[in-house]
Amino acid sequence: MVICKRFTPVILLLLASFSYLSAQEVTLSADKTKFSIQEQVRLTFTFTDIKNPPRQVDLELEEYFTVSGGPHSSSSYSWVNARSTSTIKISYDLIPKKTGKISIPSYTFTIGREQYVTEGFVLEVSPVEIVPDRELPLSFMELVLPKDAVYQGETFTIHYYLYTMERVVNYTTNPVTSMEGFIVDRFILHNTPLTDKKMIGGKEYTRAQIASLTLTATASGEFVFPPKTFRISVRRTTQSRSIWDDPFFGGGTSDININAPGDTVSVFPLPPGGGPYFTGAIGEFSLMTAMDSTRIRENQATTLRVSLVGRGNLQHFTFPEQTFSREFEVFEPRVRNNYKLNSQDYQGERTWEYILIPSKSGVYSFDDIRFTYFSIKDMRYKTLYMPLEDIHVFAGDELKGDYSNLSPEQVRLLSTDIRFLQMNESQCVDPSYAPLSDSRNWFGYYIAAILAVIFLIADFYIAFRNKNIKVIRYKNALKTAVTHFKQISHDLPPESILIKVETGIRTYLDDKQMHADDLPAVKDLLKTIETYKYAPGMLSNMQLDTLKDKALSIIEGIEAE
Amino acid sequence: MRRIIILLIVLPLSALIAQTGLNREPLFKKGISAYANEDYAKAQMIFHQLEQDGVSWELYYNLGNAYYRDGKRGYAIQYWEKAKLLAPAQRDIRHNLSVAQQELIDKVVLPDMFPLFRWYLNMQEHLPLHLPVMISGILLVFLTLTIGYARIKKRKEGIYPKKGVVSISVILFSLILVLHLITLDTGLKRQKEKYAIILDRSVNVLSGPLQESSVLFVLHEGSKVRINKEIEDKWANISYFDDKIGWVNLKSLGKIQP
Repeated sequence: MVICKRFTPVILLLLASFSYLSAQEVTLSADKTKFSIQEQVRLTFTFTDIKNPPRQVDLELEEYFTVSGGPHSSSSYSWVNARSTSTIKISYDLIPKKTGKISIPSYTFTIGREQYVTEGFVLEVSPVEIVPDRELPLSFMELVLPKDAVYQGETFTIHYYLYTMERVVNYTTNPVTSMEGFIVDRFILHNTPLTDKKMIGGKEYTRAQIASLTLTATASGEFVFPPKTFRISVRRTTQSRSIWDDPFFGGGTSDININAPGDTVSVFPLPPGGGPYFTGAIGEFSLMTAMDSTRIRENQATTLRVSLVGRGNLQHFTFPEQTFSREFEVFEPRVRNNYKLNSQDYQGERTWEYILIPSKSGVYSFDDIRFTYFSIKDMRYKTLYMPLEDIHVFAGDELKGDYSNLSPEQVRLLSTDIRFLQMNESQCVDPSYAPLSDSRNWFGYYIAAILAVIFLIADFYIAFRNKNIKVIRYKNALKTAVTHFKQISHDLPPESILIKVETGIRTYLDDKQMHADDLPAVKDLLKTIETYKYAPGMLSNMQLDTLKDKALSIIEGIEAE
Repeated sequence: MRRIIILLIVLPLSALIAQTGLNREPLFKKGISAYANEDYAKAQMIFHQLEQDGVSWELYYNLGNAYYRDGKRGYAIQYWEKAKLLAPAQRDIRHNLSVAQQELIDKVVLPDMFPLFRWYLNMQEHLPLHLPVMISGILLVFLTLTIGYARIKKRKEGIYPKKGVVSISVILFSLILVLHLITLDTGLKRQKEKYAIILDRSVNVLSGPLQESSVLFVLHEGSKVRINKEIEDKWANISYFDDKIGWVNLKSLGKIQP
C-alpha cells in the first residue's frame, strides 16, 4: 500500500505524458467519398498538436486527379480542461480524371523524431451526375470563414461568395454596422469582385467574392453569423418574342433575393500569462526603436521613437506603458499610424513618439523597451525586447564644441558660421517704416488710376461725338474741306485731282447739310468738272489750280453767308 | 525753361542724398572696421548711433552680427529679426538666424501641418510686403488697359472684342484679388502680432504680473515669444508657441517691432 502511494505521482505523470503523446496525430479525410467525374473533392490533412508540420504534401495522385486548388491551410486552438489543443489543417481541391474506385494511399510524415502515418481509404467516382439538374439553383450564396475558431481580440475577415450561372449586372445588401461580440472594422461590397469558375454537380458556376466583413472579437463564446440577404440583379432573356413585350429582344433585368447561409464561430479567451507588457496585441509583429540624440543639454528635448511593424489587430491596442528615469520629464506619446486594412487584417506600422526632457546632467541608462503580443502562428505569447542607448546629459555650455550627434543640416550650419557684415546700406528708412504706407509701392495704382481717367474721358468724348456727329461735322466743315484741298498736289494725275475736288465740295455740302441744286455757283462748278472729265489729259496745271481755287472761294463764300 | 525744370528736380534730390547717405556712410564704414578689429562693443555703439538717424536692414543685420560675436545671442537674434522685418527675403539674415537657433536651449518640436498651410505660413514669413502690392499695381495697369481698350472698341465699332479679353480680365482680376488677400492677411498679422526675444540667460515666466507669483516655466536667452499685453511698462503677458502663457518683466525682453 505504501509502495502504491509512493508511486502514485510517477504513475500520474506517466499517464499524463501518455495522454499528451496520444493526442499527437495526423489524419487524412475527404469531404465526400461518392461523387461524379464532374465534381471536385477536398482532401484534408489534420495535424493535431504537432509543431512545425509541413506546409504542403506531395499527393502523388496525378494519375487520377487534377489539383484545382490548394494547399489551403487553417489553424485553430482550443483550451479545454486546462489542456490546450492546436489543430492545423492542409487541404487540396481535386477534380477526378477517371471513373471508378480510386484508392487514396496512406501518407507518412516524419516530424522531429516522430513518425506519423495516415490511413488510406477509397473514393468512388461515378460517370454520371449524382445530383439531378433540377436540384441545382441558378444562383446561390456561400459564407466562408477563414477558420472555425478565433481568439478574443483577434481581427479576421469573412467573405461572402456568389455562385451563379446567370449574367449578374448588379448586387446590393444592407451594410453590417454592428454585431454582438464583435467590433465591425469594415464591411465592404466589392465593386469589381474576384471571380473564378467552379464545377458543382456537373455544372459550371462563376464564383465571385462580392462582400467581405472584417471583425475583431471582443468576447469569448459561440457566436452565430445570421443568414444575410443579398439582392441580385440578373439579365434574363424573355420567353415571349412579342415585339410589344420586348421591342429590342434583349431580355430584361430581374431582381432576386438570395440568402447567404449563416455560420457559427467559436471565440476562445486568450490563455493566461500575457504579462505586464501585453496590452491586447494579436498577430505577428517586430519592434524598432530610435533616439534623436543621446548627447544633450539639461532641459533640451530628445525624442524616442518606438515602432511596431507587422500584421494583426494593429488598431485595437496601445503600447504598454514604459518607465523612464525620474530625472526626465516625459510627455504623453504622440502616435503615428501608417497601416491599412488588407483582405484579412491590419498590416503596416504604428509609431509612438516620446519626448524626453532631462532636468539634471549625468549619464542615464534605461530599461529595455518591451512589448508582448500573442502570436497566432505559434499560438503563444512572445515578448520583444529592444535595448536603449545611454543618454549623456550635459550641464550649461559643457556641450559646446561637441557636435557628434547633430543632424547633417545642423552640422552644415555650424561649420559655416554666421555670414559677414553688409558693407553698404541700400535704403535708409524711419524705424517705424511700414511698407504699406510707402507711397512708392503704390505707383502701379496711380498709373492705373490715371489710365482709368484717360479712358473714361475718351469714352465720354467718343460717346458725345457719336451722339452729336451732325453738329460736329457742320462746325468742322470748312476745316475739313481746307485740309482736303491742301492734300491735292500736281503730282497726282489730272483725273484724280478732278475727283478729289469734286469729293471735297460734296463732302462740305454734306457736312453743311446743303444741296448742290440750291447753289448755282456750286452747280456750275460741278458741271465744269464733269466736262473736264471727258478729256482730263488736255487740262493744264493752271486750269486745275483755278478749279481748286474756285471751289475754295465758293466754300468760303458759303461760310461768309 | 527746360534747364530750370531739371535744376528744380535735381537740387532737392541731391540734397536728400547728401542728408541720408553721405553723412552716414563714413560712420557705417567706421562701425565695420571696428567689427573687423574685433572691437564689438565699439561697433555696437557706432551702429546704435546710426540707428537714431534712420534704419536699414543692413544696419540691423550688422548690429546683430556685432552682438553675436560679443556673445549676446538674445540681442543678436532681436536685431536679425528686426532686419528680417525690413527685408524678409534676405538669405543672409535667414542663415544667421538659423545658426543662432541651433544654439538655443529652448527647442520645440512643432506638430506636422497640412503641406499647403505650411507653405503659406512659410511664404508669409519670407514675403516682403511691398512685393504683392507692386505686382498687383502692375497687374491693375494691365487690367485697366484691357478694359479700357474693350470699352473704346465698343464705342467706336459697336461690338465688344472677342472672348480673349474677358478671360484675360477675369484672370487679372483674380490674381489681383488673391494678392490683395495675401497682403491684407500678412499685413494685419505683422501689425497685430508683436514679438520679442528673451535677452537674459534664463527668465522665470510667472503666473501673474507680480514678483511673488509662482513660476510656471523657464525660458532661456534667444527664445522668441509673442507679447499679448503690457502693464505699466513693466510687465508683459507673453505666449511661447501659443500653448504656454505667462508674465515676464519687460526688462528681460527685446522687442522686435518698434
